[in-house]
Amino acid sequence: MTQLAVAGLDKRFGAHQVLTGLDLDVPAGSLTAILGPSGSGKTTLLRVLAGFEHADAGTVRIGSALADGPGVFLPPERRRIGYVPQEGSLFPHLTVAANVTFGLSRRKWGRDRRARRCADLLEAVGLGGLDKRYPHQLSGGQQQRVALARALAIEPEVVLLDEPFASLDANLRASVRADVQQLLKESGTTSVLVTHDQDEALSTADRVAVLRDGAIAQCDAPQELYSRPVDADMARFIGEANLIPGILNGSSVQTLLGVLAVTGADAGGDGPAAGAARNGSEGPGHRPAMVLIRPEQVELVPGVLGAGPAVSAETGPAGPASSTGLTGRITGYGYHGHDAVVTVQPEQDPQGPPVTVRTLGGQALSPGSRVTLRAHGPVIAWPQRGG
Amino acid sequence: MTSSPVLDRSDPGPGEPGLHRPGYVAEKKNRRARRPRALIASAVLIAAVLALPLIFLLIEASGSGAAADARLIFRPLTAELLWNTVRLTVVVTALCGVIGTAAAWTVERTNVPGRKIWAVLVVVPLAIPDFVVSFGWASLWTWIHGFRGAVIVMTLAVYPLVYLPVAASLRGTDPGQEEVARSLGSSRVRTFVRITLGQARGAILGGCLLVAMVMLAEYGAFEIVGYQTFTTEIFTEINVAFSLPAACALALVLVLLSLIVLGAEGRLRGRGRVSRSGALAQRVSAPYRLGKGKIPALAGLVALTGLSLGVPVGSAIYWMTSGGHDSLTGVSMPSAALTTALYGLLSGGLATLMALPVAVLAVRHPGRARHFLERSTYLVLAVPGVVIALALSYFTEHYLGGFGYQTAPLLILAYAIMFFPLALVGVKASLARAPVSLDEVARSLGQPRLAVLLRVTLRLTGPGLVAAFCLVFLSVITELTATLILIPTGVQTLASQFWVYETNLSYGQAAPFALVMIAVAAIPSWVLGRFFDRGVADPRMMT
Repeated sequence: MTQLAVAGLDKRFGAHQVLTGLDLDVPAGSLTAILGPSGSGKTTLLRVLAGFEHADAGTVRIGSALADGPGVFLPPERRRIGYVPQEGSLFPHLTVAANVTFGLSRRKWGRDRRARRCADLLEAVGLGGLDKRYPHQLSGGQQQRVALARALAIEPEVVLLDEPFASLDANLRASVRADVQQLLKESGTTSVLVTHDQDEALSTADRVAVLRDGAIAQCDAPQELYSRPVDADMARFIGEANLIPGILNGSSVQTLLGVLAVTGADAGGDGPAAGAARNGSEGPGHRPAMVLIRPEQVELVPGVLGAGPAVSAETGPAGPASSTGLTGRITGYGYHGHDAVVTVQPEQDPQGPPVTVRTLGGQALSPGSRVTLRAHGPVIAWPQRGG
Repeated sequence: MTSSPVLDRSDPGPGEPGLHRPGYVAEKKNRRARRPRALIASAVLIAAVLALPLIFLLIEASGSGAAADARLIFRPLTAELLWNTVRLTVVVTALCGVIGTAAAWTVERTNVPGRKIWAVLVVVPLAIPDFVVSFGWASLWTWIHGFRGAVIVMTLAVYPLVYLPVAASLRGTDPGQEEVARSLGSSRVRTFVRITLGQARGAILGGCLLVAMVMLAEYGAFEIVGYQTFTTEIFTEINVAFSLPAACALALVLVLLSLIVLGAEGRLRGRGRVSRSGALAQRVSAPYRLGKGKIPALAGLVALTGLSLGVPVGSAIYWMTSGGHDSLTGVSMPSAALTTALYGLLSGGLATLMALPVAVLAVRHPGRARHFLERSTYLVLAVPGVVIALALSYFTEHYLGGFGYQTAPLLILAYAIMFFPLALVGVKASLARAPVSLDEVARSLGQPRLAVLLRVTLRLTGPGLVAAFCLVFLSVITELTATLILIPTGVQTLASQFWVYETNLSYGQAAPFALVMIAVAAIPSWVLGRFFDRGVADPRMMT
């Protein structure tokens, strides 16, 4: 069941087209993250959903009601959208309790039910007993929790969160994020979270929609998004990526790091490589391709195994690596405790892009030392034209 | 959908909004970007009203023909007025620049005893009407006359216009820069000139240009010391010679001068922002140890406040107690006070009301055209009160056959136009306290526009709106020039009744009015200053 449906949404400010034909479906009860770099139109999308901006074209459906469409515009106060803005935006002249009950009409709710609901909500966000405080007496994290309680108070159809954790410091962010996630899950509220932080999107949301060039470029579960990005740009945007040229041959691809299996190709699904292989113009095999190898798919072994392949012109930059692996020198080493990110310059291709490897933190590695790399499939490959 | 006890959704609640109500007619929607039409329309209307004085001036000038204008402008009198006005403006501005800066540095950056008290005392003279300062001096000593008298009186009356911005700037600048300069081998004096004054340069120039604007618009103080400038001559042409064409021709030159000063100020403000590193923001520089210089510094501050504050107040008290009460009759003090308060209330309300749409448009719906619209209203600053009064007189005479001339509504409109920039600054500051995101949140919580306005926007902007109103109210109390031209017959305000007594040399009767004006203007100004924060204690500073 879709709780929020956006179709063909256009929005421009003057000559600047922000959203172009944007489609998005948010399933009921899910937490969907809208991920995009700053300036990509995330906030504009959220504001159109909330009714603070009018769409230029397209439709927005909330629950069963058409909220924005040709000749129809539901004002924000009729949409039952729980809106949690970036800074919380608590009403500075009202107490915490008055903030939370702001949207609950005294006449319709009655004094006692209102007070009970307020107490329940504050308890739920972990702020029981702070109802008489004023916003300026709360920490940033507490303010965000009150803002969420206030939004949930009206039993919204959808909760919209606009970078709600961006203004919190790193320690607080993780805990507030986890609490908010849990609360939204428990209440079964459909929510849309806007963020530019991919960690936040991947770790918090059930589904992540990546906003690019005014439209949703991909909308998938976090795991799908990471392992099967639609294109190389997406791969680079979500996590770290080694994008290495290779030769696609059926269900495998030949790269500097050896011959690797290609995801989805054997299953005959609609993986990018498989799809391309089917309508390939150069026959079934030997097409140039761009290959995505995530840093954790590369294994790093100190030293050189065997004699080490000679660096020669015959093998060339894209030449096949022997089963002994690809040798190279460490050019960078970033230690993160639990793991380490190592960049290695392949000896076969001293001018090419270095390979990024993620290893467990235990190994002591120093820049300049020689190492051997081995990759493990399956990988994603996108055939290239004329490449 | 799962259900939790806390957030039970099964209860539809009595507050179910109309989202699912059958037959709900959604708001008709314009597919193009929505413009706040009503706001824009009223802002354009207000900008037009504010432009009226300038428009009438130009109509009158073009009506009488270029040749006639030229004849009225290019005559020996104009040259003399120009020389008088420019000479006085330059000298007073320079003196205020030096005195204001020196006082600001002494109070803000040295260990002179009683810094907090001086910080208040040095600013208070700004609240005393210039013509009261002038009266205080000229009524005691006859040598306070002409150019010399005007220089002394005006310098003492308006130097706080330089003091305030410079003090704020010195308080706000990064002491680290001075320390770096010293560590790079720069001497104390060199550091003071190149870094300290360099940082405050924008503030000094900004203050000086404000002084210049005041000098161009002043009437009462110059009349008392018998010094002729454009403004006094325009006043004479209107009120004594009843020659509107001559007054208009001179007003053109005066407005041109004001525009030049205003333009210069705008240019200087745009440039040279003082930067400071954020992390040091809370650090206050160690005060400069005066050592033996403490005595002269203290003496200087005592002399400054004595001359600018002590003499006018002392003089008024002296005349009130010793000056015989002449038989001159006028309206009673309560009656004048009541009239003044009424005019102040009405014009304060009108100006604030006029400022609202312009400010809302500027703060909440930014755009180039709207920005220009807002900036255009600042043109009023370049139109001295005497010119506004002149233009409105001209309007009633030529288009309404004299109807409305010297009536309360016209005077109130004149006040509202004159002090519109003050109201605008106050209203804009108050709107900044109610960010639009709060309105949006309130609406998303199911509150219709009117409820949002009442429950959120007005609650947050209320104090600021009251402050904006008070700024205008206080300015009206001490306004003299336009009041004398437009005041209804048989009615007197505090200022105009003071003026009647003063010009008839009935100092004993004038003095109580002077004291009441000082009390009424000085104390609330100080309170307002606190409200707006120490840095911008003076309303005129905040334009």
